[in-house]
Amino acid sequence: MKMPSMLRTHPLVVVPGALLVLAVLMQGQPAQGQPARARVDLRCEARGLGPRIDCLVRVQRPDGTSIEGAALTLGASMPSMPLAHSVPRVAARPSGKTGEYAVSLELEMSGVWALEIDLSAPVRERIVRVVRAQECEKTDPCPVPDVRRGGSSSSLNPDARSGSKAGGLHKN
Amino acid sequence: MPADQAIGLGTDIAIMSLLALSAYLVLLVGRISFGQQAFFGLGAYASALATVVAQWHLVPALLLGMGVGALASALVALPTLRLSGLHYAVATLAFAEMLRIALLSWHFTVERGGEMVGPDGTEGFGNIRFLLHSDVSPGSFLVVCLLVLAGVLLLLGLLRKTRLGLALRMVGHDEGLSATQGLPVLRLQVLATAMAGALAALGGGLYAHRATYIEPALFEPMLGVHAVGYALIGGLGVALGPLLGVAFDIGLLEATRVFAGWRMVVFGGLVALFLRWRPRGLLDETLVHRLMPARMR
Repeated sequence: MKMPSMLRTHPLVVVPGALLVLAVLMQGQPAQGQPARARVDLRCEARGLGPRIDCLVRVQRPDGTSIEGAALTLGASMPSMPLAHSVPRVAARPSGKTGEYAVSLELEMSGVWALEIDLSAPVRERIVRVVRAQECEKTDPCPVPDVRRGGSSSSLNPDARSGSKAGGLHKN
Repeated sequence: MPADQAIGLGTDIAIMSLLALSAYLVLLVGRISFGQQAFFGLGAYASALATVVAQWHLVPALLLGMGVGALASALVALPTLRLSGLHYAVATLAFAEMLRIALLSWHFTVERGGEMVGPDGTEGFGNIRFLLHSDVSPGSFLVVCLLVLAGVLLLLGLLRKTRLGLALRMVGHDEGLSATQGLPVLRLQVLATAMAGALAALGGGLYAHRATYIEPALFEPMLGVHAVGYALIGGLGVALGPLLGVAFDIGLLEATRVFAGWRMVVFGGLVALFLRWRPRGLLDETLVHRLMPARMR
């Protein structure tokens, strides 16, 4: 069989070379600077053997004023199995405090979960917080500590930025 | 199912399909790779670096990710494709794990808009906010992902009818016979793995921008094993085969949760059954030959 013409040049050069040249050629104007972000604070605690996690989400505008009437959902996925182990998104409801919303998620198992907080109104925002949720056999709720700083840089809780802990709901 | 959940699910299926198609391309030339997650990860990190740190537009950033994925895949393939089948599979897995562990130690953060951004080892790489900045809604992004997938399927469909496509299949069926026919077996396999690397990287780039946060743990072997599983279940006869595997696992098992808690057992069991009874998947070449009108073959 005659050799396909594409292979006269080595494939190591053809495919990556064409893509990289295209990328550089198409690289146009830099993106605009980052707009001010809504500030989102998340605190969770675990209950039961699922475990179920109960979370409070507080949202503020960049100037520090609370956002009321926000449309918020919380979902979760396991970083070790992206796209395949996720928990359906649940809409948050107002907790009774200004700018604070409550939401519960039933996790499939204990372990490290990436909690995805999506704010769709009045502004769009997405915060990802990676936490360790363990099954909780105690009567009292168990803590759900942060295990990463990444993705949660707009946290209101200074402790959360260091990845050291996430506050319990009853402590606030 | 709520609309936002359906949109998210559709996006996940489209992205995972790209990874499954990359595993399919490697299987097509007679090799099995358990390391496609590495190129998915490379694409995710490269395109995220381009949009977040270099502040590129998403399109060239995805192309950059694809180029990096293709280059890495071809460089890995050059020495490892000389190994036999099983050894090649292990070599790809070893490369993927080396890359994942290297990413755990890679710190490259810069200040952008008052925040530190970039890969930060185990802390991951967050604030990948191109879609939020550009006000791309989840529905619009789903359309983008579906268009990308449709484009890839079209290209693979066209490739099937070319002499190159035929040569790739021939190598997949019998390397020795192909070599005696004068086909450059190694070059064809390197070409297929480079294209596979580009496809996996494209999926990774889309995933990074959808999730806004990536970390090395995302690219564990399970992801690559699933990609191969999708291609093996769906079939190697046509490019639609791997999509069938993805739709079955994510679209049916994950979305409906009919086997909640047992999903991995069902999926793994199914792969084992297929390997025993239908080793080239549901849509294998024989079935495709029967179903497809002669003019379309």
